Amino acid sequence: MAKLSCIYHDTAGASDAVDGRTRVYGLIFTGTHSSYTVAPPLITLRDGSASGDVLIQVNDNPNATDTTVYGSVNSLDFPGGGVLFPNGIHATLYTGCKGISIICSGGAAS
Amino acid sequence: MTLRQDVNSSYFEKITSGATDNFDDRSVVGRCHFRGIGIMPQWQGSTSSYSVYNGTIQIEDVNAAGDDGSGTVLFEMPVVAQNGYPVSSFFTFADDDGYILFEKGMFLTDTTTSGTAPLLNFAVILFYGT
Repeated sequence: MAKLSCIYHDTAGASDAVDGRTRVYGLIFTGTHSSYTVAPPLITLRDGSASGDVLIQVNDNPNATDTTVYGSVNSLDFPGGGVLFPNGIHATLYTGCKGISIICSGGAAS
Repeated sequence: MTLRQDVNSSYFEKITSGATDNFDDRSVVGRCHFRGIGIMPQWQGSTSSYSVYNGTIQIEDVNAAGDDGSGTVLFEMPVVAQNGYPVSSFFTFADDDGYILFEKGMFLTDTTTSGTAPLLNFAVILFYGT
């Protein structure tokens, strides 16, 4: 069994979420928007910095032609070894994203 | 040979209506491996007003006495809900065979950042131990 941590991140825009080598096993995230003006993606997770590779990209917003749906809490579970971020996680939360829980192991604190 | 371990489940339910946070003193006491959670946001206000409310659900390590949530927040998840359209959500670490360790036990609480408190109608926590 793998001991995991939960890192909750709700800083709007782009910022570092987790320092150091990290494996991501799951995500829990929410999104809501009422103006139809925000296009996907909702969240991008890059390796280490703003210029790092995009390793995970998820969306919980409707696109411009779909009906807005509130009340959403979505999750993704990555089986096996998870998704490896060799240099940490740099997260970008776009307008409409209220927060993201990163289920992971590693990181500078471990 | 595969060894199997029984999974425990604790059900937390909002006790009374209104804005009072009714999850105080609703704890799982003792060392446990947190394995998953299911939640349902509560219905807030009037269905004629489709306001959106949001916040987070938190599980804290309980204090040394095991009777409140003054310990570290080890799990936190975002919730966005709307009057009249509560949506349940479930998440488990089972695919990864993973867990989050709570040394002294789990204390469930919620915070509301937009809307009237509290957020949560009920939650089910899956865990090993105690």
